[in-house]
Amino acid sequence: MAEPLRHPEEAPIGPVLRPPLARRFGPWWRFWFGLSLCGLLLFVVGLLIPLWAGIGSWGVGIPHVWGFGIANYAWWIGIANGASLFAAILVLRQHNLRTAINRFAEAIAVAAVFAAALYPVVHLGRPFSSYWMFPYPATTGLWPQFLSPLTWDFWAILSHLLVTTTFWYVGLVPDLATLRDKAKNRPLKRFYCLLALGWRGSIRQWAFHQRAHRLTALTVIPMLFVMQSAVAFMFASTLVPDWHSTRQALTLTVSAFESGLAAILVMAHLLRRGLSLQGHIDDLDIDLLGRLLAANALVAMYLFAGGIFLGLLDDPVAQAALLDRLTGPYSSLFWIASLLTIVAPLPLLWRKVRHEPWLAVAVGIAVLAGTWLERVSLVVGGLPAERIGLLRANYSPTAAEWILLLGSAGLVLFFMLGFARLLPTISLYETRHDQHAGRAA
Amino acid sequence: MDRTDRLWRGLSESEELAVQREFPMLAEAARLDRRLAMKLLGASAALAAAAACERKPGSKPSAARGTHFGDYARPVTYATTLEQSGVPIPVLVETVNGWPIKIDGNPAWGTGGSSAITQAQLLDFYNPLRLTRPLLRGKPARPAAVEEALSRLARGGGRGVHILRPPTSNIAVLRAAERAAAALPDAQIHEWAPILPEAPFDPAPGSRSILCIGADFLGPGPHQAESAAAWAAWRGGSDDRRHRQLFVAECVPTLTGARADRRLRLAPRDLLQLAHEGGRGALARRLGLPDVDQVLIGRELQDDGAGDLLPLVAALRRGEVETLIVLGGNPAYDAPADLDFAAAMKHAGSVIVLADTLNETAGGAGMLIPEASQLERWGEYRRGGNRLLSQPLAGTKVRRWSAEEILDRLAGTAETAQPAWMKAVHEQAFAAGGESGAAADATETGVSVRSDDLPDGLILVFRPDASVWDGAHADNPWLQELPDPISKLVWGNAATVASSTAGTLGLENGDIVAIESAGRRIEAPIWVLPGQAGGTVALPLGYGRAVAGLGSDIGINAYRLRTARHPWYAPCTVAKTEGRAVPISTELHHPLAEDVPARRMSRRDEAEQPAFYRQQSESGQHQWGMVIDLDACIGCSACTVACQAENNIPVVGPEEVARGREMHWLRIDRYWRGDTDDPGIDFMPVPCMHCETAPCEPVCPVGATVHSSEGLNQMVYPRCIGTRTCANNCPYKVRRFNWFDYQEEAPRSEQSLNPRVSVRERGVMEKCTYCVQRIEAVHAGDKEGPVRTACQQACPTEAITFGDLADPDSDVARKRASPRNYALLGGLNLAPRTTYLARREEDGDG
Repeated sequence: MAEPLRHPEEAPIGPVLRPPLARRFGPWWRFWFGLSLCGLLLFVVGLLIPLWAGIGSWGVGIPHVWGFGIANYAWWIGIANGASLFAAILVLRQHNLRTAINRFAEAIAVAAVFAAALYPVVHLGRPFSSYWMFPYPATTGLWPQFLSPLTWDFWAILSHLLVTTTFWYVGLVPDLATLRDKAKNRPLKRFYCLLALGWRGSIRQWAFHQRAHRLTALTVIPMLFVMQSAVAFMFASTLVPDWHSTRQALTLTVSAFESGLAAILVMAHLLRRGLSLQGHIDDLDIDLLGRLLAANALVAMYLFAGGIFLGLLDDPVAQAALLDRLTGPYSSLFWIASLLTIVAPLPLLWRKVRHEPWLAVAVGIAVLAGTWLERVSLVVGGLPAERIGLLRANYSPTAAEWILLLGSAGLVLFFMLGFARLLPTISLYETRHDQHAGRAA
Repeated sequence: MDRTDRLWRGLSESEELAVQREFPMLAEAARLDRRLAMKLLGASAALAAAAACERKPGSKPSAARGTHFGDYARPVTYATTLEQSGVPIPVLVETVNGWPIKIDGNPAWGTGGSSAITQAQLLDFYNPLRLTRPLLRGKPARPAAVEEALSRLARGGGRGVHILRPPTSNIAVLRAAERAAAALPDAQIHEWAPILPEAPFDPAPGSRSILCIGADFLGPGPHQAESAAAWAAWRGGSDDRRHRQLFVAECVPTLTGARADRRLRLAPRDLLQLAHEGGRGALARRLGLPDVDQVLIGRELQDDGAGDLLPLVAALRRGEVETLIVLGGNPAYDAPADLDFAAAMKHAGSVIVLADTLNETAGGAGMLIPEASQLERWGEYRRGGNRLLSQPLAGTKVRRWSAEEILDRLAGTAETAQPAWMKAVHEQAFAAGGESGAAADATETGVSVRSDDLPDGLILVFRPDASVWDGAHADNPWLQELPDPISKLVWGNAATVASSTAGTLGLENGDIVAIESAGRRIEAPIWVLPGQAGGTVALPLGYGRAVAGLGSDIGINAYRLRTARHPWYAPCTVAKTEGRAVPISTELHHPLAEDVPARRMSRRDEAEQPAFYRQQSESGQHQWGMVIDLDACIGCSACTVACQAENNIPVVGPEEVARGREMHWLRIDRYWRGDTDDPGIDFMPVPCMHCETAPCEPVCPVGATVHSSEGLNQMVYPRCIGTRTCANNCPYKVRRFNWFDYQEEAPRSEQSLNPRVSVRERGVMEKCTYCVQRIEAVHAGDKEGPVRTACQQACPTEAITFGDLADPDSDVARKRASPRNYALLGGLNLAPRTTYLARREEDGDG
């Protein structure tokens, strides 16, 4: 057993430490946890329906071979990417905000990646054969098709999963050691002990840790751009006129960043209130997050305007596709999505809105809904953009698809609640570091 | 493979050593001693005896995973004749292990094309609801009971016996009927069919312009394939530039109208007037019709309704009928509504019905006799100057009866004699000569136009249906799922109206209206049909069957408004109701990103346009390609059903079709051209294009769709994991996905499946293969070349040409060099192997 660490001042990290070490966690937590368990159950049901009955239980058909499944996948992976990117930038810049936000930004990213990663598997016609995407030396001598953007996407998801969890875990190790030392309950102590990997807090370990953490953060950033581009390539590399555009990668990356920020903003407010972490996630943090989201919306607005402008100058087929997107049967999805992702965050430019929790949360949720609608509008609305027969919308999601969407939200909620219960929601060692730094100054 | 560098020492070395190394047990077994020899001898004898056992029909030919050719045997093709609405159709039936798997036209008779209905008759044979035992008052009875009942009648002298049979050209039936009439002098024989076939297209020699007045000879019906071939020959082969003109006057768009050089949309009253004037009177002048060489008048303008049914119903109502024998047909469903045949039938002392499956008429029968399929019995038909023969080619252990057998029993003959002309049967199933023209079609000679007194106001127009015809095919799933060539409706019918009429009445697609005619009322959904004459409501017959297996309660029963006096045109009123039920149509499915997919080209342009021909880059010896001539295509959909039969394509049902999940590998897109009220109509069959730079191939993450050296875009079912990306990236939308386990969920008799084509499992993509099994059969020497795809074989107008593009003398290469040749979505540079020949149109004309 490692030697207990000494902490000169333990009081400020109390609120952070309390939840993981507490025996009970209050009725509200239990209520939400129960709810998330229901969501998890829905998730399982949502997975089993297509596995048992066939993917025909979804509303997909031809030409809408992809529907909710891929839209939701793109949405979750977008949230994950946005959150990861944000956390990584904070770590690398050693920004003040990182103390407060990067831990749960990473947690959101991990949860969202898990939720996302299941979609491309379950949406397959024969999910039991999905392992054929792995390049393994089969007796058939067959390999995956490396030309396919779906193969790239598979690798992107896999690396995203690995990098995000590594990034998150590396950041957690010193705090897990703290929890190990503070835990009174023996099984809990063992649990943290295992996870802490024998962290002793020596200078040498700290030096390694700092390097490892920054290095993983560094790998996160290019990986995320690759990831979003891979998602975008799935669309951009096809012949569907509305999808076949080089702008796709940029648009998706920006909107992913926006959804990630929105998710963090919402979580920050909820955690701040739910766990009384006002001292840790302070007004400055909230203010910065709000400004970032508003700035992101401005970038999205620029891209939106640019997209329409360039699209109208494009060749006739792409032009028609764009017009169809703007006025076709699914155009309402597109306009609502644009409104929610571009206009809705703009009030955050005002200080008052940024500091009114309910308003900020409402904006965050609006952006999340907007980015989701944007994905649906892309996956579903992009398709009838073929010039004959754009008379009616013939894709509508079935109950099975809604169940899986709600279920995946349940999965993320379950993960986040478990995280809030078992692990320190914000970084302990960085908080301590900030305090020391503050005193030294 | 070059093996000259292999080292070896003696001739006997290699195999023996290899066997010893790889299979030591086998090597051991190869050393025979006396005991082993005896063992093997005994086992061989036992196994030889076992070979005589009939094998139980095994599992499906092959699942997507793995291949199983357990029941595979070389197909045997028989020539025989099928009868539809009294018209004999010579066909070839391919069988495997004694089970029919495909029906095609007989190329020794005409072009060898067939119609969708002929193709689909295969499934009728496998209908799981076919009667297997006679039913006596609803209870299964012994076959002897039938014989007893019939011989009792035979002894009775025929008083009070009335026999109702559909029209037939089967000489065996006609002769048996004569014998029965002789034996039972007091018996009466009546004939009934709700729809008489349109006369076959038979242009007078040298006629260059033809006016059709309501004559839909290219439309559904027994003569469809034959007429289509005759029309194509008249119009001129693909390189014939002679000027032939077809004028069609009609009130509801038909296949014939779609192929007219000029189509006239006329109200029924004008149509009748035009027919009365013989197409040469005042109306013709007002319409600007030139003087034509020949005028064809449609059956609807001649038919006089109830036929023989009137005296029978009268006799029934007077209580004079002791025994009513119905030898096929379904009068309780399709008799004129004002006769109320079903109620009249109840006045008969006893009713004996010969039927294939349970139907409305059979429901009222005291004795129900299972009818032998046309593939299970002998027959001899008259057709013009020829005799056509049919032979039993499918064995059955179930005792079923044919009409002539029953008539023979009534005549007191114990055994129906089998014809002795076996040789002719095996060769071509028809023999020239014989009794000539005795039963020549009445329509070919005198034409008498009926005088309908049609008032002003809405006119209800009855139409035979392209899928179910008069309702006889209502329980055929292939036909139910086959989109109507014009409206593209599946699994049901609808009351079609012109958009002007819909506007006046405030109707739109899916509104349910109450249609009232002659005091009877039905409710039907509305479908707005461009090209229909204003002031008409058209109702396809044959739907809304009450007892028809899977066809029960699908669509609207138009017979409930059809009277003996007004069999085709009836005054009616239409009132909108609150209800809505949008009929399922595939017309908007599979959209293409092209403005003018189906092209037309004037003859002048054709002479000037330079040809475009691309060299193939693949290495294989053959380079397969297909050319579809839109100038010959009549949209009849025979190719779609032929493809379905050949390639074991499942039926998915109405709900699935509504979701855009129909599985037809070959679809026919129907385009309206121009004006919404009076548009031109274009048909375009769309199979897989087998693009040389196929966009579906690089996007598949597991390489489940790949290119062959002979230029085929192949789908590897066992490798497919179902990402559906290929379908996303296919701009032609020809890929089909197994969203459910369709084959399992709608089980189809395993014997009816083509053993050369694997059955796809759930979650697998599929599409047109250019009938790769046929190509490989020729490669393997199993069949004789040249390779013909199923769609090509079925096409009555030879619009589809398939062959080797690498051979510059092949038909397909020649057609591809035509100035009319163009690639669908050519702008995408996908180099499709399937190309189209633009439809010809007159210079400067629309």
